[in-house]
Amino acid sequence: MDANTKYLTLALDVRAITDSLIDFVEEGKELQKPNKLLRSFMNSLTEQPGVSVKNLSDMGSFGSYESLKTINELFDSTKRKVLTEKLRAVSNPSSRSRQNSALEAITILDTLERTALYHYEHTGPESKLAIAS
Amino acid sequence: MSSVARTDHPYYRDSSYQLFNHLDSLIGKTLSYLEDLPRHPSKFPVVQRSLRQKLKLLRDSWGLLHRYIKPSLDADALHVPLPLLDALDDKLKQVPGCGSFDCVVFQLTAVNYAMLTYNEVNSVANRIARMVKGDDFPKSLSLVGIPYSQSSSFFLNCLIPHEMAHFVYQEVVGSEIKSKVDDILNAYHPATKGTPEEKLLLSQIRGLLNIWVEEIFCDLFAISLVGPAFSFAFAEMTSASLITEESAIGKFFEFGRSHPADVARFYLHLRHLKALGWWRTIERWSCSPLQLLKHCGKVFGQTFLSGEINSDARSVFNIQCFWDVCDWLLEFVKNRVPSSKKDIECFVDQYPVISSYLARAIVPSTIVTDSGMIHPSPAVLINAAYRFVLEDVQELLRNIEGRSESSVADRSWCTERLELWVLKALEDCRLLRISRETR
Repeated sequence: MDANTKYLTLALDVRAITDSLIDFVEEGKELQKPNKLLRSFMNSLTEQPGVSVKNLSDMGSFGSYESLKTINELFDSTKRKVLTEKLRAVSNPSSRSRQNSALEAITILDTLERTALYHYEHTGPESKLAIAS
Repeated sequence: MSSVARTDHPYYRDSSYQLFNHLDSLIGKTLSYLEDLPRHPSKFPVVQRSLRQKLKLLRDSWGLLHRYIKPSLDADALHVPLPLLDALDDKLKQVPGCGSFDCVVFQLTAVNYAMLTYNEVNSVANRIARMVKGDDFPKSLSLVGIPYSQSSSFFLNCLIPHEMAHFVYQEVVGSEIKSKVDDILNAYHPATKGTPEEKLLLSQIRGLLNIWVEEIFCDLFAISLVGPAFSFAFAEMTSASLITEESAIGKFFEFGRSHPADVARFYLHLRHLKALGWWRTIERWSCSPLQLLKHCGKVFGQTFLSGEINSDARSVFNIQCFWDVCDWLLEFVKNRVPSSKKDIECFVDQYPVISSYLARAIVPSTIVTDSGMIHPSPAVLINAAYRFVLEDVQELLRNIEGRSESSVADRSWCTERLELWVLKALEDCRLLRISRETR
């Protein structure tokens, strides 16, 4: 897949998480469990003690260079922790202020989606051709 | 979309109709979603803003699919190399795990072959479907783009199996190969304490390695499917005979962001042809693609990483990772695709007869050999045609009054005729085989 499309699919994957948060806020629908996409995303936000191929593999599509680059660009260590806490709070039925956490997470995820879309629209065309360079 | 496509005639392959129907359904679901959205306004401004942004995302995603609708409508049955596609589809279906695969062809404006459409259309269409509650993209549909100018040619279209192989990679073997890539990469880059920047660097190296390995898988798979004809077509497409003249600083030696170095690819073609048994049959040919393969067998170690890859990644990346994966991949592909042994034996046995037919402008749908009357298999016809055009086309020119062996125009004219005859032979052989099987 060419780099441009990876930014678009990042935006679409982020949107899938946002949609599930909107469903929670609007209809009280709990987040789906197990939620592979959300888990991969949380793994990409979590600061690991080390750098390894296994860590990247646990991040699924969020472990791609384009995804990590966009996430690094937007979120420093503190912002990552904030977003992770908000998403954990929504997933945890015993947590208080789940709705507020969801609304705040939606705002942050929208920023990520917008940035991914910006890169999709502005990244120079890589070679999209499978045979010749 | 089906309303734009002609309906007065079975004008497209069934696989194209499958694609049109799927996109039609996705368009319907998207429209229903859009109609439904204002009926349930949210009371939260954050959600309202987010949904407006979702509309932009949906529009941009459809913008990407929109690029491929016209190229798919342009590739009607009269504008694709139908007999070759059918023969390749039949071959692909014999590979374990690929029995239900079908190929849709797109006409590209670029002078190139590409599988971009599968990755782009499939992954984006599925994500749109997730947003609008549509159906998943048909699992068995591979999408191949060919240059519009090559719709009725034969030789260059021997590159199509490489594009089909991208689909096999995505749908059948990708996770197994990626897991092996991770194992090997892990041995070269064990876990360390590191910063987000180092994590980013490792993800870049991993991404590059996976892209290169996928390309090599597709090359090897294509050779397993159609034999050396793929290498010859690839050499023609990339003007790779220049490698023999080029010093090691040229682009053929460069591992880029989207492709491994050509010289590495040809070296691996050579190894695969040897492993499959084709090499013994072709090594004495004198044509330039053979010289190229032999040359790449000597200079493959002179590759370098392109300047378009960032300097941090270049300084950390050990190219030996790539070669280790390829050593494993050669064996992997050989074991995954049915053996070429019978095709090679038939090729050796039948080439003298097929070439004598072609030299007299006879379509070799049915040939008479010492073993009796035979309909050559697609792999035999494809490679025989390539050998004839590379080594023996002068035999045909000598048999036609007024044509000269040294005339470029006459050689070109002959090549075009050959392409038509071989496509006809492929079509006849398939019909004859089907009729035999039905009886």
